[in-house]
Amino acid sequence: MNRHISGIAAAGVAALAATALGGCTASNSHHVVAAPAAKAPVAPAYAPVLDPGSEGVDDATGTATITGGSARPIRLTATKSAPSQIAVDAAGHYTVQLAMHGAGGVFSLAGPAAVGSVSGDKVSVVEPSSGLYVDTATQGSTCTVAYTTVSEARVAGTAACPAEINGKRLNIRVVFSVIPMRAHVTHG
Amino acid sequence: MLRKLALVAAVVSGTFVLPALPTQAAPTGGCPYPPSRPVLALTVSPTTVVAGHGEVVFGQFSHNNCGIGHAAIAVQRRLIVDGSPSGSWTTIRHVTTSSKGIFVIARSSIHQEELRAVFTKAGAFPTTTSAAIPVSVLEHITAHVSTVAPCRVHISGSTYPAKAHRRVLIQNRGAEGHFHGWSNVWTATTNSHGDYSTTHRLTCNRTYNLSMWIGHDATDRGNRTNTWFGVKPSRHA
Repeated sequence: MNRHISGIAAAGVAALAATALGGCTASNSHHVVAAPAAKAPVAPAYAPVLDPGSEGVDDATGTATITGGSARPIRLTATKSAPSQIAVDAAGHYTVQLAMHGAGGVFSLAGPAAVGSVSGDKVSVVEPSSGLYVDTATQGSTCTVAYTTVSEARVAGTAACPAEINGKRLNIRVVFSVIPMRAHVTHG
Repeated sequence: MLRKLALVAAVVSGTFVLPALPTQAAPTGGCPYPPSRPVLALTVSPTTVVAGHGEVVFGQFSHNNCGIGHAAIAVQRRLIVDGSPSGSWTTIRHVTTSSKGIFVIARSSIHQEELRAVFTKAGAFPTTTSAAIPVSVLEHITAHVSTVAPCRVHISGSTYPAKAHRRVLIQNRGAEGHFHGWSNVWTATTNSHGDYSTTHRLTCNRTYNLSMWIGHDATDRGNRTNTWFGVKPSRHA
């Protein structure tokens, strides 16, 4: 899978950690294969969204921009060393797992993807500097996810999440886009 | 490659550790009214991760929706074996919440596990534990694909963590945008170091879209490589 590891994303993640803590005092047959992946018996909110055994799954890189929390937009990335994933099943249904990190925050999105509004996707957003913390799985947050493009070649859309920081109501908006990392054949 | 992965894992999980200070100030903040217990929330991004890839664990310690700053938080893990929690909780990191009650750590998982955060009674705040968040960890399998005349394909790669003497399925699919499931083409087997290497003759001038799959074991979920689209073996180099 061409998962070449570099320290770039790790550095971004580290910078985020530093930001968060800054200021603290302290065989040959051809047949369709059934899904063989093991799944842990976990609560539905945490059931794995990807099934690489039966789906076409590709790592993807991309960007996301968070607005509405901090004074300035926060730009995040998914890189080779910390990629997102685009998956498609045999029926043509798409699933995404996006995880974008940067010095200013984190954005995660996991669940079914289709052009238009989708309900039930899990969304989490954190901006340590502003105190923004959204998690539809644990915080009871509600986010609206709308996809503008969904294909094996690109997934893009927006997530809108009402949030509250110190009693102040905010409208958090995250614009995201990812494209798959394509592996290249060499000719010997 | 495995050494590089191990190094990155060490970097992600080690270098960037920002431990709690030896002498902790008493936790401060939170909104005292109405009377209620503080809440320790925890999020893992992403919750399905490839072994050795980085993940971010973050959370917030709050009281009536107001962050509690300067609180010492222990992030703990417990392994999941054969789909069930196994063993006891082990503290992997100590962190201190920011003035807004938020903490963030970067790490990487190698095996299936669950994570939780624990605040131990200090100041006015009682011992508080977050929900346990399962982290689904996929085996990391790599591949290099090359065509070799006449009409053969050579594939080599590795697994992380190393899976010795395991079967790797080389599978084919439809073109991009036309996925109808995976078909087995041939198989390879990993050696004692978890590496594999295989050469196989295919139909000349036919286009293949190949991915390599390794199944699950007790501690890691199965996973596949990205797809090599347009692999077309020919008679001539």
